Amino acid sequence: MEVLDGIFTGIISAGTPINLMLCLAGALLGTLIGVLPGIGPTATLAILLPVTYFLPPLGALIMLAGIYYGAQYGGSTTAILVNLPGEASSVVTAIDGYQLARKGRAGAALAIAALASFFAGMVSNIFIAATGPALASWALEFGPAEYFSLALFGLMSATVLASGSPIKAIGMTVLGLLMGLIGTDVNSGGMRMTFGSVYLFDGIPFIVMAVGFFAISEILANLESPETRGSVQGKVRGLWPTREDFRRCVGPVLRATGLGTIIGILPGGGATLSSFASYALEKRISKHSAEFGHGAVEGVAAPEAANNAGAQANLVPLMVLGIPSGAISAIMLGAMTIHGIVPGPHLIDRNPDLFWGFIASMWIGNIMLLFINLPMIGLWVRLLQVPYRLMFPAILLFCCIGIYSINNSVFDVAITVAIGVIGWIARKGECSAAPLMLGFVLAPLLETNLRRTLLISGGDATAFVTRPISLTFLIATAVMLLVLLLPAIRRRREEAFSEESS
Amino acid sequence: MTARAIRINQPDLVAGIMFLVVGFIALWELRDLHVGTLQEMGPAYFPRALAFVLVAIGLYVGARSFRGPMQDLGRFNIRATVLIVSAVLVFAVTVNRIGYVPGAALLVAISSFADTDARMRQVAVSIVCLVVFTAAIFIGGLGVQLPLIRGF
Repeated sequence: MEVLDGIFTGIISAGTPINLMLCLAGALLGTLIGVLPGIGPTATLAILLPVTYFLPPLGALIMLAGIYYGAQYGGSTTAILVNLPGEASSVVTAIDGYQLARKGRAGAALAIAALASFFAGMVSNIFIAATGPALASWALEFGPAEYFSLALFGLMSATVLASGSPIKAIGMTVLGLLMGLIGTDVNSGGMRMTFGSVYLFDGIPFIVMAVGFFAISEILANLESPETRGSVQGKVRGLWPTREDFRRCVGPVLRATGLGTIIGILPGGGATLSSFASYALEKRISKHSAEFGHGAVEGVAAPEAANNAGAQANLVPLMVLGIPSGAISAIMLGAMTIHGIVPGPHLIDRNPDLFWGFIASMWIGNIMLLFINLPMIGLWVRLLQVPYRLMFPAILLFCCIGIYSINNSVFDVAITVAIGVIGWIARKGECSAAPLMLGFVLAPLLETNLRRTLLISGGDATAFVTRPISLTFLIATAVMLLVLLLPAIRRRREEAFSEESS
Repeated sequence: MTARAIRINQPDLVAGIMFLVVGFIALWELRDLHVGTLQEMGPAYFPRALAFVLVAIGLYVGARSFRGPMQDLGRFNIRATVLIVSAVLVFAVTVNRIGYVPGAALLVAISSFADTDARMRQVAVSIVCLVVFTAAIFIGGLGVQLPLIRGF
C-alpha cells in the first residue's frame, strides 16, 4: 500500500497545471530538437538542460522527463524516415522502420513506434514504482566499500556495452575519471589539475562536458561527413496501422517490454542492449522472420518497446543507488545534482514528493507524447527537411548562450569548445564518449568511497573483499573484465594466425 | 617505407596519443601535490594512479596501431572545424564587452560559413531570426544577465 500512497503523492505533486505545462513544453522541445538529424537524445538533453535551470527541482525533473521522451521519440522518427539513428538504441529500429518508410508505410511505422514505446514506458514505470522502495531499503545498508565496488561495477558494465574496442573504452573511462577529479580536493583543499586557473577550482561544470562532448563534437563530425545527413524518403501517408499490424505486434511488444525491463535494470544495460536483444529474439521466434530486414512491423515494435522499457528501468539504479549506468542517466544525475537533489537510497525517505513526482511525471510524459506526436507527425517530417547548413549555427548559438547562462561565465563557453575539440579528436580515434561521461560523473563518488573505506580499515585493502555485497560486485566486475578482454585476445590471435599462413 | 606506413591503424594511433598526452599532462599537473599512503590518501594519490593507467593504455593502444589493420581517419573538414571553433571563441570574447546582439550575430555569421553552400541572404535572415529569438528567450524570458548592446 505504501507504493500506492507514493504514486498518489506523486500524481498530486506532478499533476499541477504548471508542471503539466512544463512536461508538455519539454516533450515538444525534446521532439523538436531530437528530430533534427544528427542529434541524438543525449545531445538533445545536453542542449536543453540549461533551460531547466531556472525551474524549481521537481519542475526541472518533470521537464527533463518530457524532454527525454520527446528526444527518444524524435530519434526514432529520424531513424524511420531518413535511416539516421540518432543513437545506438535506435539503430535496430532503422533497419525495418526505414524499409517500411520506403514502402510508403512511414506513417504506420511511426504510429507503431509511438504506441509500442508508450505501452512499454507505462508498464516499465510500474515496475520502477514497485521495486524502487524495496531496493532502496536494501541499499541503505551499503557502506563506502559497497559503494566503491558498485561504482566500479557500473563503470565496467558501461565499458562492456560501449561500441568498438574495449581497451579504448576503458581508456575513455579513465580519462573521464581524471577529468572528474579536476578542481579542489575536498579532503585536503589541494588544487588538482587546475592549470593554476581560478575558473577550474570547482572543476569542469557538468553541462560544459555534456554539451562539449555531445553537441559541439557532433556538429564538427557532421560537417565532415555530408552523407550522414539523409533526406526524407517518400511521402508520409496512411498514419494508422492496420488491424493486421496490431495483431502481429501484441506478442513482440509484450515480450520486448519484459526483456527491456530486465536488461535495463542492470547497470550498463539500458536502451541499446535491450533493443538489440529483443530484435534478435523476435527475429528468431517470429512466424514472419523472413520479412525482418525488409519492413516487418514487429521489427519496429519490438526494439522500440524494449528501448523505452530499458531506458526507463535504467533509471532504477540511478534513483535508488545514485549510480548512473549510461550517458543519459549520467546527464539526469548531473541535472539533479545541480538542483541539489542527491539520488540514492535516502531520496525516497527524504524527498518522497520528488521521487514519486518523478515517477508520475514519466507516466504523464508518456501520455503527452502520444497525444502530441501522433497528430503532429506531418510537422516533424517537414522539420526533417530543413537543410543542415541552417540548423547547426542555431544549435551552436543555443549551446553557447545556454552554457553562458548557467554561471554567467564566458570562460565556460571557451572550455566547452575546447572539450568539443577533444571530443572530436576522440571520435577520430574511434573512442565512444559515453564511458567518459560516466567516468566523469562517478569520479568523486568513486574516490571518496575508496578513501573512506581505506581510512576506516587502516589501509587494509582486503576491506573490499571481506564484505559480501562488495565482494559480489567486485567478482561481477572481474567477470565482465574477462568477458571484455577474451574476444579481443581471440581476435588478435586470429589475426596473427592469418598473417602467418598468408 | 611507404608500404610500412600504410599498415598503421590511424584511429588507434590518435587514441593512443590522446591518452598518453592527457596522462602526462595530469602527472605534470599533480607533481607538487601530496601523494600519501593507502590509509591516508593525499590529493594526488587516486588521480596519479589513474594517470599511470591512462599512460599504460595509451602506450598499448598506440603500439598496437603499428600492427594494423590499416585504417585512415576518414574525411577532414579543417575549414569547418576552424570556423566553428573561432565562432564560439569570438562569441565568448565579445558578448561581455560589446553585447549579446553583436556577439551572437558574429557567431551565427562565422559558423554559417563552415558550410560551403552558405548564401549571403540566407545567412542574414538566419542572423536576424536567431538573434531576436534567443535574445527574447534567454535575456527577455529567463533573465540572463547580458547587455544587448553596450554603448560605444
